[in-house]
Amino acid sequence: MEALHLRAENEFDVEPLAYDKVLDAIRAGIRIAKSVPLTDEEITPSTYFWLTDSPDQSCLSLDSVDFLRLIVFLEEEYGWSIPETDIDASECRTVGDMASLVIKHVRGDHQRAPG
Amino acid sequence: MSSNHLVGALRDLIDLGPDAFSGPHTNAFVEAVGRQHPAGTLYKKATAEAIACTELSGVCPEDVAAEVYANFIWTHFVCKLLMTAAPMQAARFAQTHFDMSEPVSAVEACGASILSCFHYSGYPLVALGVAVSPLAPLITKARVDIMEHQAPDRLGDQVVYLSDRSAGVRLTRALKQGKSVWVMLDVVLPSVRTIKTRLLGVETSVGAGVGTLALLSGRPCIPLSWELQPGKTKLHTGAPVLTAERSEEAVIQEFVTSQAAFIAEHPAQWLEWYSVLDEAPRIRAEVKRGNEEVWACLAHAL
Repeated sequence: MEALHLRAENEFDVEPLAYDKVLDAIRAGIRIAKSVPLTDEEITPSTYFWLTDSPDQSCLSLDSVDFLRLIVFLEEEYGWSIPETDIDASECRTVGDMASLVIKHVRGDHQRAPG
Repeated sequence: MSSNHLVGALRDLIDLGPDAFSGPHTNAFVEAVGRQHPAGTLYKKATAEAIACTELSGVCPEDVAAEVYANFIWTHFVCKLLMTAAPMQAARFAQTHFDMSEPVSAVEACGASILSCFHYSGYPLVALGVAVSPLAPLITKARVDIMEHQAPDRLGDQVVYLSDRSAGVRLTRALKQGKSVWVMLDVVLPSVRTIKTRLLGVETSVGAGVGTLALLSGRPCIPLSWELQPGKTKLHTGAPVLTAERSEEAVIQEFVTSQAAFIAEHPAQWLEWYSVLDEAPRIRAEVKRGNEEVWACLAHAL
């Protein structure tokens, strides 16, 4: 995977997308979607978007409108788009899951871009 | 419940084919199902109570509630069953039965739009008619039901299930890409965000999603209404609800006001009167349970 990443940067002159940058963008999107000044400590990679079966898990309790606003914020502000099938998949449950999906798909878009 | 009697009546209904969508052929079936629906009494009582607490005047709430109930049974158990039993014939019927000239002109003038309405009599058939019309919007549904398994294949990609996390994203992206969508907002599903509105003088909660969709996509909402006729049924459009520099609450209230005007003139057409009552979620759950019981009974005939 790393080799592919490097090749993409060299061939298409693309800056690698840093995980921390994506994380900060998602945090900004969540604050806007929820209209609440949450701290970085309240939005960590392991924070769940929705309630889970485990009462000990930290969770943002986003509803469908909050979540839509977050996705649209990432698209409009950064041009990062996550496919609908990945949004529905159970792999997109935490802030970290979403950051990983953004990186995966932005990288994929860059690799496909010249074709 | 006398299931043999209902199953026999349903088979007779299916034999009528698309003719059963119009005319008096279905009255006996509607009466039989209506008598046996486990939540029928509750539905009629709640509907009458809801009508009585609004500003609607000059009508007898109980009489209107009885008409609403017949329309409700027709919609859920004639319309949906025929659409399930003979999906291709239903699609052909819907394609020719509805006059879409007003919505088509409205979308031509406004561009991609949110086509929206309350749950009026025959709404599944109207949604099908809109889906197979030149408008071909994405159609939202609460969840997968029995109809999906037998729907014409070409409609599969047009349906967005609101139970999917991606539903709002898919609708917003479609609108931004120039495709219209069909969304109904008077039935509030559990855990869905709501907005309080005024409807015929009563505070009523409706889903907040349409306002968010409109503001995020920048597309207008076109209110729709209709009254089913035995011949051709014309779909009417209200003035487009625009979003520029407006709040979601203002957008939704304007839409609700447009629907209220239609409901005041055609009170028997709105199937969800009890939405204006505080105990609407409990009533809806009981009606849904009753529907499922009747469906289970009728499924033997399909």
